[in-house]
Amino acid sequence: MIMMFTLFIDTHFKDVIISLYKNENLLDFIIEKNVNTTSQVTMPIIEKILERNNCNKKDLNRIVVCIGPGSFTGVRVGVTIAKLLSYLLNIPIYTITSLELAALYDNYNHEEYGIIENNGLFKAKFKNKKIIGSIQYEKTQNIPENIFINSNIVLSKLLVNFSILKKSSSFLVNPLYIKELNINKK
Amino acid sequence: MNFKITSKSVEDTMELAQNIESEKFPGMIICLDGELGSGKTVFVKGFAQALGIKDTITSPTFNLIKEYDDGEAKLYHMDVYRLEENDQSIDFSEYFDGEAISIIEWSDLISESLPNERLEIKFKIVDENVRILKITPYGKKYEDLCEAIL
Amino acid sequence: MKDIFILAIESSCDETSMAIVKNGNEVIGLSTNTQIPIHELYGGVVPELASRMHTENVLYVLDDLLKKTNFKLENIDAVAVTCGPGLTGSLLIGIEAAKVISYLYNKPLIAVNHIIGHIYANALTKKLNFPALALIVSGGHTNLVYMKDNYKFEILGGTLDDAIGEAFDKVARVLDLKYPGGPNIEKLAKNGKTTYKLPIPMNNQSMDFSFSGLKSGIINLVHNEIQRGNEINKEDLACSFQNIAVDEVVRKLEIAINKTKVSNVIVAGGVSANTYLRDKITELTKKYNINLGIPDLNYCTDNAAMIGAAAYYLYLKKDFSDLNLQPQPNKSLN
Repeated sequence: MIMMFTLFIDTHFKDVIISLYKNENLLDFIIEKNVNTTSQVTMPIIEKILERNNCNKKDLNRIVVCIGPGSFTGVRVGVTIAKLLSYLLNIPIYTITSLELAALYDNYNHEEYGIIENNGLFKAKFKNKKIIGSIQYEKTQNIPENIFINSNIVLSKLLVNFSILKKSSSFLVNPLYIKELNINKK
Repeated sequence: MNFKITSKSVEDTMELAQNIESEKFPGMIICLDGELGSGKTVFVKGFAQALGIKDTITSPTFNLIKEYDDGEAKLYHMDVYRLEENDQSIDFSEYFDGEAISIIEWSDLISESLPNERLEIKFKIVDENVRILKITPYGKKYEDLCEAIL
Repeated sequence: MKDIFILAIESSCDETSMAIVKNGNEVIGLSTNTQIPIHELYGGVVPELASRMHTENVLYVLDDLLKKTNFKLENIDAVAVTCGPGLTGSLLIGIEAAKVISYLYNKPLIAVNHIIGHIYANALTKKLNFPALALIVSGGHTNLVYMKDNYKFEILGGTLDDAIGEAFDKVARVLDLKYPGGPNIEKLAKNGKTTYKLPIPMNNQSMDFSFSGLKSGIINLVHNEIQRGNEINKEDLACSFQNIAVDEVVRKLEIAINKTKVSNVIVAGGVSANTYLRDKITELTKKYNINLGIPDLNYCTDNAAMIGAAAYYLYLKKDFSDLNLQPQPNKSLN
């Protein structure tokens, strides 16, 4: 039986979530909550999880990374690490958005999901497990009634629902920012 | 409520800064706006001096934020000249929510990230040495401060 | 002694750069992606934009370097990265990339100070001799530093307000010049004369620098001329500013030379690319019969080769970092 090891990296907001899969089965995970300095902890967590599962770095077959939206800086840490791992190990990389993860973890029980951010939220509508329309940002201090904010993380669901992951190439993986930068051209 | 002060020299600006420092409180936020050379950093120097900070206050234009620990209170001196609106690379709440005093130059540029309560000072160049400073307090603590010194 | 190859990464501001440097002085390969054309549109570096572009470009730069040098990462002895000073979001990308390489290939990770990198850019041209006086002139720093030996720094003087590069950038803005200000002022100045009278900064025996008075002088002058309806000769203004600023730097350097009696001077930082500065310092060191180290124009501005040079000494001292390395945006020489 072919053994595929997949590493999942999610640093899109305040938690750092790293999980390791053997084929579609969740082997191990580490979630560090409320991290102020994502860059300080992410690589050490990756090192720890591979070590404690006796997984050699070169045994990794696949990377899955959350590309946001969320905190610009947070997402960039995970994305940079994922890109480098994929490129250097020459293994495929898959991406998923934070909204899709929220919907997945919640079993698609709601129609519209939101990801909270400092000044507002990112939102997307779902139908048949897919986003309809596009992910949008709404600046607000209150959560609108029809938007569901998921708080459960069910990592075991990730690879079982492999088709929702988007295959990419290391060079092309970049964060999904959504929020516009209002910069004035001089 | 706002106040207008005329500063005829670097010393005048520094004196104002020192007066404001004498009414300082933890978590105080001062926003400075005005053209290049209007005296914003001079203000910070005066404030820092009153705080007893020995380090030289230099322009944080490049570094964005400089921290000074050796005064009576911790001081964050920020210059967001190189930032544009909605720049997300810095989480300002980290700085504004604590006990330290923050002084932000060019604060106009990050208006969305500014707390509702703060002291705003706008510097206007009249001529070589003279500046007009328009001071606007937002929030009771700042209003009281202004009443006390101005 | 075995040859040491260091892969260096520099992303402190708006250039994504990587290099392979041998023994701290030979550049095997250098790959740099500059974002200047992008930031030019906005009149200056926009930190968020810079971070985004570093993320986009990091692999292209690495790939380009590896392809053109044909070097295998298994064969590097260490990976070095700028950890500060600089823009946090920018530094972050280089640091995370360096960590992955260090981790995957089991090579030590070396954190390098960007300013020290500028100093060691000189090692790429000529061996550094000590004791030496280092003059650092960049956007964020203007310092006179006494170096007794490798990696031994004593700050003799610094800026009291704006760094010289910063002053150039701000004056460039006042003159409506495009980003980056420094090189554009230099270009204008070439066709100008020093006809404008401006206040001379810190005219005394101190080794500290001050440029805000000069900057204010320019601003006042421009305001006054506009009010009088006079046309401003930008070339002359640029020339007047540049020459006064540089003359002051050279004057302070001379004071430092007399105080320390060194026989070596090293110049470092982006502003060391300025021709007028290079000429004046060369003149000064010839007058005192001192060795001058001034970086090759390719290595004056931010680049990873200088980081690879500076990392060499840290490698020899086994000064290594861990995977929890964080950006230090305000890192100083101390």
